[in-house]
Amino acid sequence: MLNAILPLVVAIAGAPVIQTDTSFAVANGCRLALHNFAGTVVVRPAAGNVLRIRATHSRPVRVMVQRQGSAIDVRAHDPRRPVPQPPPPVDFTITAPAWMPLDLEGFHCDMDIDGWRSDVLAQTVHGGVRLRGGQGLIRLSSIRGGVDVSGARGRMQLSSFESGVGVHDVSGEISVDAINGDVVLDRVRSRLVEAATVNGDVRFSGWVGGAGRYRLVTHRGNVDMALPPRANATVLVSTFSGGFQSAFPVRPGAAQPGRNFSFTLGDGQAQVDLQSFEGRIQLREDVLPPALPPPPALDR
Amino acid sequence: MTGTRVTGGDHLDQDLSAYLDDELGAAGRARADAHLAACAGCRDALAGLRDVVATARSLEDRGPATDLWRGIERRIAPPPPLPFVLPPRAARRPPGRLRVVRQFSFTLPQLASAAAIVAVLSGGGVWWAMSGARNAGVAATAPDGAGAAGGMGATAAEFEVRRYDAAAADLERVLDQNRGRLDPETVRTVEANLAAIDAAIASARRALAADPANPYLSGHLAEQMQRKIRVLQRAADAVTADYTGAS
Repeated sequence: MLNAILPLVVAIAGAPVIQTDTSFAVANGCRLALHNFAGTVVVRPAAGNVLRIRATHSRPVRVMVQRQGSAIDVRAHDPRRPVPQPPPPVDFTITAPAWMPLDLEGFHCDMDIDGWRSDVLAQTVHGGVRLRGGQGLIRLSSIRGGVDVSGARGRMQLSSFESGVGVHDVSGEISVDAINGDVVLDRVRSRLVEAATVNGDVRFSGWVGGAGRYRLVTHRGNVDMALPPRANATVLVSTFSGGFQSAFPVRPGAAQPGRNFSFTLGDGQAQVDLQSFEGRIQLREDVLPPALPPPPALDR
Repeated sequence: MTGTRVTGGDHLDQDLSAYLDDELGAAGRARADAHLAACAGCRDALAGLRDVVATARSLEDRGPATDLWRGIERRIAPPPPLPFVLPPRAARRPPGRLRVVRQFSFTLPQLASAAAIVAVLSGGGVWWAMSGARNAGVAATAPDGAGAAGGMGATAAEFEVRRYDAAAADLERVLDQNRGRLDPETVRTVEANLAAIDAAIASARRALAADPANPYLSGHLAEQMQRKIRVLQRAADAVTADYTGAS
């Protein structure tokens, strides 16, 4: 029954733009899969187990809601357009239970998710992705737009080709991949960080310790890492034609272009790997907020 | 759905659909009736579901405006096989999406050995690879002796080079074939990013040719090659994504 496609349209008479507005109950375990070629996707938490889909779009467009297994599949369709043509722009505002895993896909699409407490998968080509919250698997990517995450907890895989990636006040495993943009990791609590870009800078501040591994890599940009004064880390520095500056004592003469070298701070337990092919690598002392505790164990 | 999943005090949730379709069986329906009599929330949900069904039934049932099969057939037709292609990634795909882009993956050690060979070859060191000359940088980063000194090591690394080239060429072909689905700005962005990676590969390759024993350089070159595959894969995924669900 629900496997049939259900076009839900509420028209505002006489207006060139119409709104679709529908709500229905969702059971625990349901996932939202939303595909929006162009427009915006805004997702906010709902009070109960109700999924509400509001969409603003042109008149002939229909919003298709389809249930497939545990997924609620949402996408727009314009019956006038032949299939190979992409659907027209739709602005979605979704309110849903914050426990509901999200799988959002767009092309010319900006995505904004706030207050989430579950997995978030979001990828777009031509827009930005902004996430506040998120727990579990967080996978966000954009080709032209930026990716910005704060307050997430779990395993994060973030990428942006053209713009930067910002990660703030998060805890968990972090993997960031950029090309022309900067990577900023700010107030991070993690035992596993891998951040790489080609032409941008990589900056890190946060908790470093335990048996953690922190790898910051760029080709043409600079690497800037802030460590607490009593950090316990083995630091490996690699560059071809770049430079190295450190607020920590390092063996004289070690920091020469074309050299790879390492040194130990404290008991050397954490592994810090800093690489810039032709940029500057800087290790700074930074007193972190005293309230920044070690990262908790991951839920999954 | 069939059977009698409905249990004592639990809410009906997913059983509501089966209840409406009369698929719960006698015992399940009796338990559902009992639950509905006592649970206002489930009654509301049932009422909402009935509205949705009524809306669906009131819609005109139209067949497809055109014969879609030819397009579908064209899209699912497998491309000609290439050597050195890994099996498809087992990642979950959202319903309604169809991918024709094969997935590739290379480990850094694999590519590090390949990278060293590429660098040496491009640095005029063909004799080195063919004669199996010793190279500490390759041996230090190659997996399972793949980069170990000697002809076998060079052959294994060259194998990886060919596999990498084939994967990159395959993905570039997908991108070229679907270029028309991208707007010019996005095409420029993808090309600019690929150019940035190619520039990084070129400079790392030159550096490695001058200092072939440097494990950082072979690793760095390998990382850029791996990144290029990822970017091509992502771009190819983007141009072949289906947003209509018509596939």
